[in-house]
Amino acid sequence: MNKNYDVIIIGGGVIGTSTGYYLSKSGMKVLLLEKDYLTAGSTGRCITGVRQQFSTPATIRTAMSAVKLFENMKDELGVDVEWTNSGYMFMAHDEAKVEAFKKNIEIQRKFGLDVSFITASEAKALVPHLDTDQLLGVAWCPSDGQASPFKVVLGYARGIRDNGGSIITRQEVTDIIVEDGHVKGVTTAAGVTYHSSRVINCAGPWAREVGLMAGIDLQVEPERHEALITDGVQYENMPMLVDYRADGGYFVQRVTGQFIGCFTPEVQVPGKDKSSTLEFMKEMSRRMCKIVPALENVAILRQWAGSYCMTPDGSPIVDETPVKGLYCSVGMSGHGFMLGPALGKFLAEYIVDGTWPFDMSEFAYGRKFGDKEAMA
Amino acid sequence: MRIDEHPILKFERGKQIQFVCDGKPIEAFEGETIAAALHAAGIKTLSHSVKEGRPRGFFCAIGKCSSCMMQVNGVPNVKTCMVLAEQDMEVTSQTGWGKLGQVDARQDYNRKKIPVIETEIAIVGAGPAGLSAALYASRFGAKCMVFEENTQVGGQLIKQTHMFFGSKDHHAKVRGIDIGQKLIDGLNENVQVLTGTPVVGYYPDKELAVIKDRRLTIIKAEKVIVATGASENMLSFPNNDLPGVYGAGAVQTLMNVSGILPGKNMLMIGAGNIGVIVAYQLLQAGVKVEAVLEALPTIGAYQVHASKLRRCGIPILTRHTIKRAFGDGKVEGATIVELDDNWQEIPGTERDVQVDTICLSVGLKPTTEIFEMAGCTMAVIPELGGEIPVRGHNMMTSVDGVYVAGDASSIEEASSAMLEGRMAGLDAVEKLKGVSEEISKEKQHVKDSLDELRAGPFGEKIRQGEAKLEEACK
Ligand SMILES: Cc1cc2nc3c(=O)[nH]c(=O)nc-3n(C[C@H](O)[C@H](O)[C@H](O)COP(=O)(O)OP(=O)(O)OC[C@H]3O[C@@H](n4cnc5c(N)ncnc54)[C@H](O)[C@@H]3O)c2cc1C
Ligand SMILES: Cc1cc2nc3c(=O)[nH]c(=O)nc-3n(C[C@H](O)[C@H](O)[C@H](O)COP(=O)(O)OP(=O)(O)OC[C@H]3O[C@@H](n4cnc5c(N)ncnc54)[C@H](O)[C@@H]3O)c2cc1C
Ligand code: FES
Repeated sequence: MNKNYDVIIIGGGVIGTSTGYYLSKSGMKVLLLEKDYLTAGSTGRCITGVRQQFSTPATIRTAMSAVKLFENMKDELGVDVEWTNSGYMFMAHDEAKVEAFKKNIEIQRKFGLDVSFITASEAKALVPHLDTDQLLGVAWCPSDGQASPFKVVLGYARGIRDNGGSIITRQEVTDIIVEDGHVKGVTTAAGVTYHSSRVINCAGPWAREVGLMAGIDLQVEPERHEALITDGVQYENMPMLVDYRADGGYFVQRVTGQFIGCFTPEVQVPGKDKSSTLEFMKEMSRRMCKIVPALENVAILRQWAGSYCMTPDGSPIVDETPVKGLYCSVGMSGHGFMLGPALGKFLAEYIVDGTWPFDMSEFAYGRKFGDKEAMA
Repeated sequence: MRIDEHPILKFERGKQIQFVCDGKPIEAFEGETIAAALHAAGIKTLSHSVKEGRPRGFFCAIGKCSSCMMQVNGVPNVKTCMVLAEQDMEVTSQTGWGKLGQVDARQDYNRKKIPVIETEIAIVGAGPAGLSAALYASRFGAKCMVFEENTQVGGQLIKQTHMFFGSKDHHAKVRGIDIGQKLIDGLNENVQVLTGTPVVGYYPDKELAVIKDRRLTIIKAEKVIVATGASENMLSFPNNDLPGVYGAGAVQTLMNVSGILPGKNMLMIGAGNIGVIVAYQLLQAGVKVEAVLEALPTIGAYQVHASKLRRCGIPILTRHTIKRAFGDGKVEGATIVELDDNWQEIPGTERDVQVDTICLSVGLKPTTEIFEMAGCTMAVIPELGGEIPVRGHNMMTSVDGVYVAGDASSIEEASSAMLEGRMAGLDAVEKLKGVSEEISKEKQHVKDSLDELRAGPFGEKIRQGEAKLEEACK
């Protein structure tokens, strides 16, 4: 068997498969290696939200490009990825939040995003089940949405294979071969070596370990997040409701009827532990009922945990590393599913043509990590 | 279609009540589930499926399959086979999911406290295994709580009207329904049994999430005995989801517990003990049994059960299977076909039978979700029913203090389920209260009884399974 490839991708989440798809589409011979199964990492554990309401130019523009890609994904990949413009509502329960959201909306609008600050009663008209107690208003973007991570990855993976690429699951990369500062290939736990002058680290929460295989110490840390999903009820077009209060949370009704959601713990929990806690189930269900009291009568179906891959400033690192030919697309900081399609396309174009669609220095390797993304 | 006369059972029906289903008044009796009452009223279609909008009736009648979900008093997705009918209840059939209802008053979600109950031994499931565990653990002083998701205790026993085999120690010559009652009568004040209370989650350090009075309650226990029983297997054939296709256990529940006939004439698939016994019970209750089909060349059921059926003129067709069900919105018949030595359908042997009920008795699968949540080491052992938790002779799984007993540990019978439950209860109380000569003697007796029970030719499969399990333990 010929084990030479134009590019080797490590990781079969949304980032690895989207990047692989666009590279294979441009004619490259792609090999994607996944240590477990496709979507086994964060991607299959995310809560399916896709939004464009960010606070920095590159993130807003990437997210807006991603929404365009989600809109056309059915045609592009031949798979219905359940994309729906169900929107995102960021809820403001105090003046400081009102101010912050309004400031962000100004920036977002500069890039042409259809976002506005609406009153609590306007929000209530859009979401009759919403509890508006103490709600001052919401930042509302109707073109934000949701999609199925499983179907998105399925579509990209099929695309890679249709374009002549290979995907091997249950193949863990254990070493990256570097000679004279140039990447040469990878070795797997099964002892197989695959050769390529281009390797992309798309290992999500494992990105740091994978980087170290080539001596690259990425500033990323896994951070544990739990999630749950309820039984289904008839779809009522409820947007992602984001409540950033100390005991808030965020959840959306899937087009398939279930409510899916999570919250960011007050004290961050580092690591990749996948176990579920009773505490989360208790808290999340309480928080969801607080925002949509009618959920009181809906059963919880299951819960799980996954990890975000965090950078110090909450923006990803998408770039070539100091090792020539070794790229990374990591540190998605909780937004990898929504940014994934666009980042895959951008990195593929950069690898093929050497250009970015716009100034991507916010995502550069080796940048100085400044302020945190305000809507992280 | 209520049964008024039955050779063995007397149905003591509760007070007559009335509720509303899709705008129509329905007569019911107190103590009857919604699904059963609807059946008695001739309503077999309870919902329509999510994706294709196909009509669905009920299949399992014990809360395991979700095909009976309806909107009840505004609450969506209620499994109506597990909820008792109440006066003036409002029941609506669902197409796909139910609707998010309005809640009356906004609760104070800021200060909501979730109740926590502590107990020494938490037992999941009030079938013969769970009840035996409670009986013996409590006898030696342990405080036990038994959680049962269905409205009645006794598990599968409450529907078994035939007499059991075996030695006296194993309740031979006693009817299943009476064994259940015996177990319940024997419980002392150390045991609390909660019905309509499903255990929905296992968390580290033996915390259980249970739904009590439709609300989450947390149980903290020192030992957990899981005796969740099994669910019936499905068979794949076109239209297997038509209302009128039931599991054998569901038919039994309807007939022997609720006193309601599933239909007028029926086809039984599977000639193992359960299939043959249920076919006979249907006959007793006045249903015309067209035939019992068995894909294997031989009948799996005990000879006595099969002969009883044959004496009544019911054909047991070996090397036969169901090819498809047909009917407009409900079962109106089935096409059956003969099989050759390689399990292939023999062309030209198809024929149609006109029946309004098809009953599947094609095996059981242990209910094991709780073990997986608890992180128990699992093993796939076909002889014992498929995937089960690995456990020792004392019925403890790989997680310290978490036990398994009964059909959840291997598909066997009530006698062994009771012995396994007893063993789990004894071991748990011994670990809680300290070793005593009496408990050790009891445990040895249980072990000997189990060996004895599994000694004959019918125990061969189980013995092979047990041997594999022992391998898995290493
Ligand atoms: C609870 C939760 C909710 C979330 N909600 C959202 C949301 O609503 N919207 C959103 O955009 N994002 C959300 N996220 C974040 C999102 O899931 C991630 O940012 C995104 O999935 C990252 O994709 P990825 O491809 O980088 O990583 P992953 O999906 O983790 O993929 C990395 C893959 O690499 C594999 N791998 C690792 N090491 C190796 C190796 N050595 N060899 C071979 N393979 C290897 C892993 O097995 C894994 O499959 C959420 C995350 C969590 C945990
Ligand atoms: C038709 C038929 C004939 C049979 N004939 C015989 C016979 O002649 N002799 C014989 O010895 N055996 C016979 N059996 C087998 C015997 O009935 C079973 O092996 C026995 O009932 C198993 O007992 P169990 O306690 O393990 O499970 P079950 O009786 O199934 O009880 C389990 C209980 O757990 C409850 N439960 C499950 N999950 C949860 C949860 N999460 N929370 C709360 N409660 C839960 C269930 O509702 C159920 O009540 C027969 C079985 C059938 C179906
Ligand atoms: S869950 Fe009610 S019939 Fe199966």
